[in-house]
Amino acid sequence: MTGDPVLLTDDVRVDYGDTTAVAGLSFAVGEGEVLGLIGPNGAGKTSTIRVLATLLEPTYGRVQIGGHDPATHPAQARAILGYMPDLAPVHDDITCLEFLDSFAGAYGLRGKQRKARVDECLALVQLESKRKAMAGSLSRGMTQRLVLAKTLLHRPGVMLLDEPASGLDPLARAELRDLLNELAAGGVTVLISSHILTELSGFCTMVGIMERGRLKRFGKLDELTATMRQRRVIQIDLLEDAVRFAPRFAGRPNCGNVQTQANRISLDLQGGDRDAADLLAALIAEGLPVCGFAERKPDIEDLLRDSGATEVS
Amino acid sequence: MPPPATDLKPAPWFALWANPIAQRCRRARLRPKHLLTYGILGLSVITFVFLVTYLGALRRFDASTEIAAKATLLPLLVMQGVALMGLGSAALASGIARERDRDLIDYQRMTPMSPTAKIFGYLFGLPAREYLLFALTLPFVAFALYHADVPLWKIAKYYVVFFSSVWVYHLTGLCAGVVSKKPWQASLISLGSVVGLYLVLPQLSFAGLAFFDFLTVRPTFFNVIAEEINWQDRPWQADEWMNQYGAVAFFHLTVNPTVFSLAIQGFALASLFTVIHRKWVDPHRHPFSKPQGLAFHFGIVFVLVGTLWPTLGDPGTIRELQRRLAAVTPGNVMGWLLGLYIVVAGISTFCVSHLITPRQHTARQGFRRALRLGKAKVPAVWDSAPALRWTAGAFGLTLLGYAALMVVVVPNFVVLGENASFRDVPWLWFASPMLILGPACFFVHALAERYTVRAMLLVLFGLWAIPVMVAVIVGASARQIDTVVPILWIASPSPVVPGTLALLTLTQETGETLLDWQRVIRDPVRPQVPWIVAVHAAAYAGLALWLQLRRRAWMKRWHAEERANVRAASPPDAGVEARDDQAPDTALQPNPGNAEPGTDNAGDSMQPTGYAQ
Repeated sequence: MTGDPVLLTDDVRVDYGDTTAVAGLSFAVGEGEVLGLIGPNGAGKTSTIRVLATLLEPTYGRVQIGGHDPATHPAQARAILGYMPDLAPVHDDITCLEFLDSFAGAYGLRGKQRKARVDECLALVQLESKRKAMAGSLSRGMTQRLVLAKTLLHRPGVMLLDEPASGLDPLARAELRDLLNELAAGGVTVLISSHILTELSGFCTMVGIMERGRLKRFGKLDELTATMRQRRVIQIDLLEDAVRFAPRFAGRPNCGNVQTQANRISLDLQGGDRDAADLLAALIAEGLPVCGFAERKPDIEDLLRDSGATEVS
Repeated sequence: MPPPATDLKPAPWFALWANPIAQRCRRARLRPKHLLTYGILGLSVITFVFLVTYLGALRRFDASTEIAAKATLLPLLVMQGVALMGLGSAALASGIARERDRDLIDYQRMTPMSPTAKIFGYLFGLPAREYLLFALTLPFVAFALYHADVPLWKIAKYYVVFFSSVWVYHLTGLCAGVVSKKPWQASLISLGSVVGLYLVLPQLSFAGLAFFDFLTVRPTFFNVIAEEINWQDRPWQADEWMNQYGAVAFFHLTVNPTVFSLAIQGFALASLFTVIHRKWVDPHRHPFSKPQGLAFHFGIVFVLVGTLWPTLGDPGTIRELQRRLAAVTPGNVMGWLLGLYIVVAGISTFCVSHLITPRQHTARQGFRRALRLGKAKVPAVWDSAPALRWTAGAFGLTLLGYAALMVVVVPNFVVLGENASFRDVPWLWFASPMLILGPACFFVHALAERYTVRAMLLVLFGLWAIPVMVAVIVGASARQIDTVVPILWIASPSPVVPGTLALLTLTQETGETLLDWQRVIRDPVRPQVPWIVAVHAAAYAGLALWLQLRRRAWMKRWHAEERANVRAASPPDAGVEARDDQAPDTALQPNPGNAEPGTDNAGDSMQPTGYAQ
């Protein structure tokens, strides 16, 4: 990260009644980073996003958005924030165009600039053909896209997306991913929470893993996964059902976390290339019908598992 | 992607024509199909009512054009009121509640418009259809006013108060929508407030407490427009109403009803706006801050005392009320008026205390926040600060108002020729209503600080309603009049019973003439009243004290634990663990949140200013 952090939380705590939703939350995200916030249900992801979106005042703690403190300079913070909630609702009694036009006005866009930006955002989410359709008549996926267009209207510097891909078909997800990549490349900082881990793997540059209101792991994805290299993940493809052969790995001193799926065995291997080569040789010597042997790069799922999170939403 | 447009400025709050929320609501509620439907329906009804009244007067009663035009004014103005006050308030309440229910309001909260602009957007946008209905009546009203030859200044005066009153109702609707859980609840509350203010509270005005009536347009109507209206065969009723809504006596002043209406409505508008503004900034905030709550209560007590002062001090008005209320003696009227003061000021005291009292978890959150800011205790004006001294302040204001009223009551009693003056009455009788109200108030406050709303209501129901129910059952099954004393003792935990007894005894201590049946009841009860009052006051004072002490002991223990937690909170914390994992360039500055109590290195940002939304 270069320069000052665009998103910063410092010792943030959020209480609902007697329940503590978030505690001791501190992180910083720089310009153009895409932070994936993952964790089980009730981990505090949505509360964190609502605090950053200036919708929820924390019990205590400091928050900065683009250098502005929402407690003292809410308008400045909001001017650079875009927020898309989970199950994003829309006003169903107005058209898509009116929906976007209203929010463009609320963000201070006027006249031709307003019209042009609304058209631009409709095009970005490919809803030009629905501009005169009532917002309430859209499908779930289209509604998500309409809200995404609303979020983009004022060219936010920070985007907070809470489960943005829920309800989107695979193609729309891919498009969303491309769009977010494009935004991040343009310097927009994105915080995205999702329970679909594969959705995050494609484009997150940073990861935060939350559990029971606390941030268990946080950092750049490649740096975090680098810490896992000591324990590489090996995938072994067999010609026969893998379950039969799984017990053979149990006794090996440098193998752990053995998992099987159809003809594939996946395990954590302690050690370097020599150990991997030894394992392959041993397997062939033992007569296992190995048809594939590869090291898999650790991904967010491995990170999550490694962090000890017990349940993923 | 171009850089973020941070230099954009949303329209200011007064630019209603450019307010995007108002525009969006207008678009939604005035679509061509709605315009057509409501236009045809509205126009048909208005035309029907107008023609029936106008032509009826013209043809059936052979009235002149002027008289016929005057006859149409009342139904037209009523229709305007129904459209804007009734339907408009319901539209606001349900509209905002629906947006809140579906989390749509969050989108608006996040825009950089000022909270005032957002409130104005909803205020003038959601009732767009009702404003249309109002506009449809205008040609008819203009016709009637022109032919009835009503002076323009009267119309202007009337409509100023009319719109002020409409906005009171609309803000009430908005308030209901902001606090209600469901849209239908919000609609019901707003419609209930319109019905209550127009049908129920005027009865209080009839009975001597006029100021609620000035939240409506009725006083100005009767003062300004009524004389222009053709009342056909009921001039006596019109005369009575016009007399009733003449100049308003307020303390020693005589105030024009229009001015008084605007002042009362201004107070209501300011109070409602405060609540809505605070709820916009943070839905978890109390409706009033502590100083605002006290100021609101001061306003209520001031208006109450100001309205009752001239009534209680004027023998002529007392005798007029005696006639109107069919009261036996002037003493009864004075007792009734004092009772009105105690009930209204008491309800205000309870409500304000309840609204500014933090629940236990709020108090704990406040202490956590204060501790992180290096404060030894929660600052007194924070929502999460204990509200005991503010409750005491509210009760003190109620007491002060009561004492002020007594200053005029005592000499006036002598003038009214009661058999004995208040001078001979022991001071305890004067104080007794407040001896009931005070401890009950502190008890409820202590309950609110310690328990949940549900538990508090359950305790209050058990203490205040059930004894009365039991007493009624015992009374219904008793044959002898001498059971009245045990019945009163059974019902005495409810403050209503000793309060009423204290007030009745106070007025009866003047030696006013009693009817035989009253004497039969009074004679056995009279010696018991001081005991009932004393036991009630002592019991509730004791309970309040006990609850306060328990709460304090518990909070003290909890505070010690929390301080220990803060001292113990150091790097092995989750956030720090997270920082250990992150790249060096993302490392944070030293954590001000972990400051020891007493230090001053925490930022102002942690003060509970809320996010202005």
